[in-house]
Amino acid sequence: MASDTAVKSRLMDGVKSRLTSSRRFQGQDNSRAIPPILGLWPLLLLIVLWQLLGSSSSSYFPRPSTWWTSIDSLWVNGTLVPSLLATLETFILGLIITTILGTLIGTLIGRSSFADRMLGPLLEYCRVLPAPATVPLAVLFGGYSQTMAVGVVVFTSIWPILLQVRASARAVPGELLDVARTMHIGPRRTVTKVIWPLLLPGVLLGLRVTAPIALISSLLVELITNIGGLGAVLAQAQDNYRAAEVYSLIVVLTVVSVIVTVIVSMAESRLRRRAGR
Amino acid sequence: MRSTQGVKLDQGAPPDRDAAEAPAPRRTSNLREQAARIGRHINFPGTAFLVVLVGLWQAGSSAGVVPSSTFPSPASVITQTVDLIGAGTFLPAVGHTLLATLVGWAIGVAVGLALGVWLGLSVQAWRNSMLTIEVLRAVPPITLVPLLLLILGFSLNSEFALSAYGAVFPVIVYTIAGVRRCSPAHADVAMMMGISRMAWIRKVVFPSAFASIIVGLRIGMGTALGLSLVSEILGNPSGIGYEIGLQQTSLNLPALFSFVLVTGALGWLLNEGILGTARTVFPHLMRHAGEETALWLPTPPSRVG
Repeated sequence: MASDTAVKSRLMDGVKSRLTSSRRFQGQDNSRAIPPILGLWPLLLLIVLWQLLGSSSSSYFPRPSTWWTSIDSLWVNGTLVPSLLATLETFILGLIITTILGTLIGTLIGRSSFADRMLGPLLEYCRVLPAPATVPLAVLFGGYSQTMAVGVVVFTSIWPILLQVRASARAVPGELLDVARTMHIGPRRTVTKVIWPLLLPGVLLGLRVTAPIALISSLLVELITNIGGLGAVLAQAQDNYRAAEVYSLIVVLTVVSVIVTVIVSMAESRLRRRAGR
Repeated sequence: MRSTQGVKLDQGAPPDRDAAEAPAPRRTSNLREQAARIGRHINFPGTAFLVVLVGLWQAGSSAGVVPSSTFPSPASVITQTVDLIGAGTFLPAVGHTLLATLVGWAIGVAVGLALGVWLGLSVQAWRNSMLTIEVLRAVPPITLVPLLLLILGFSLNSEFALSAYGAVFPVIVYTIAGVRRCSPAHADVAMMMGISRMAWIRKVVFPSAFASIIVGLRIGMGTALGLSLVSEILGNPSGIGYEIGLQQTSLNLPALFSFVLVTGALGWLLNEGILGTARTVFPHLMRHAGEETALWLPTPPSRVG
């Protein structure tokens, strides 16, 4: 019988060790936390190897040091900064309009169940309509102008925020509105004190999803229509087979995209903390 | 968002041994509720609104209120579409884009699922590579279109590569989030049963991550379709994107509208295709996931972007 208990205890030990090992990675959601800096080494290794093993004259994979020379020449001949500013202007204008319109329309649709049902299929269709397909139509209506570019950015990036706010507005509990009505606090304060605080997380989440899409849409318009901006510079670099320039612009735009994401996330967490949720 | 629930009755379905979750709640007890759900699935006001909208557009075009220089009438768009199908340009273009998107997406999904499960389960792997993935994910995918057109040329290969790139990151991120959602209690029970690691992933981790993975697949499909269209517009001389560019240059508005509108239909079809396939292949998981597979939920803090 002694051997039996020994087997049992060994079994339990095995189970315990597997339990602790499973606990180590289960149930902890750090998908939103910034991952540790250590995780950057595969990328750095790749770049270092590329620099060491690559050649400067390769027409497809020029080594990273040549990227720097080409971005430097773009800087010197004065195309980099104005183009970047043009792209950012389209992006920021588009994002502001998107946020305001998306929040308003999303709230209105979400609060009226009839409008919600009626507009549902149309909204769904507009959401799945791929952004690149809308550019030629936008050119038709707005010509090759910045207004057109902003229009495309708004039309293509409004859906995440609109639909997210709609979902949040739909979930505003009716009891809270009843309380507001019983207390006679008036429509203005109902919106500012009851509805808005409940919608804010949805708006912020929608904004976080929308911001990168808006940046991509600004670049997309420039890339397809060749109106001023970094997207157009990128298209020209490709047309003229300047691979190093393409890589360097990708790096610049990635940095811009990271900065945008960080700013939006910081704004989100700050506003959320101030709203106490 | 419309209800993503299936309308299939679940009575008499054999118990799925792969579903390690608690059995899905019985929902067929109330016939009236069932009828209401089917009714909700059809959405009459929404369909009626679309019909009215198209009718108004047609009436406006006929009356000359809507300028035909920017908005061709729906009738002319439909006739043009029929003509294009007859001429044999429409369906091959749609087929080309569909092929490029689906193949690229499938590659992206395969890579994304494998990486997502690995990084979601192993803290070591996550620590050592997640920031690299985050940086690569931050690369605006649209900027890679010129690069890949440069490297791979105006070919189907560059479309595959772009669609795969567009799909892989949403799938990775949502798979990691889903895997992390697996409850420690379920994991412990599985460990007690002494099942193998592969069986554990298949029977415990996968069902927990399922809803999140579906969201990743849907977002990835949208990006994949968009990227194949861009590469067709900018270079590849085939597919819907190429036709859109062509019709825009020749100012054939009914044809332009026809190709643009079909991209939306394609997007809708692919999206519903994912949900429909999931409902057929994993009926229990899908029913259990319920609204969790929707892209927009009223509980924002638990979502990743």
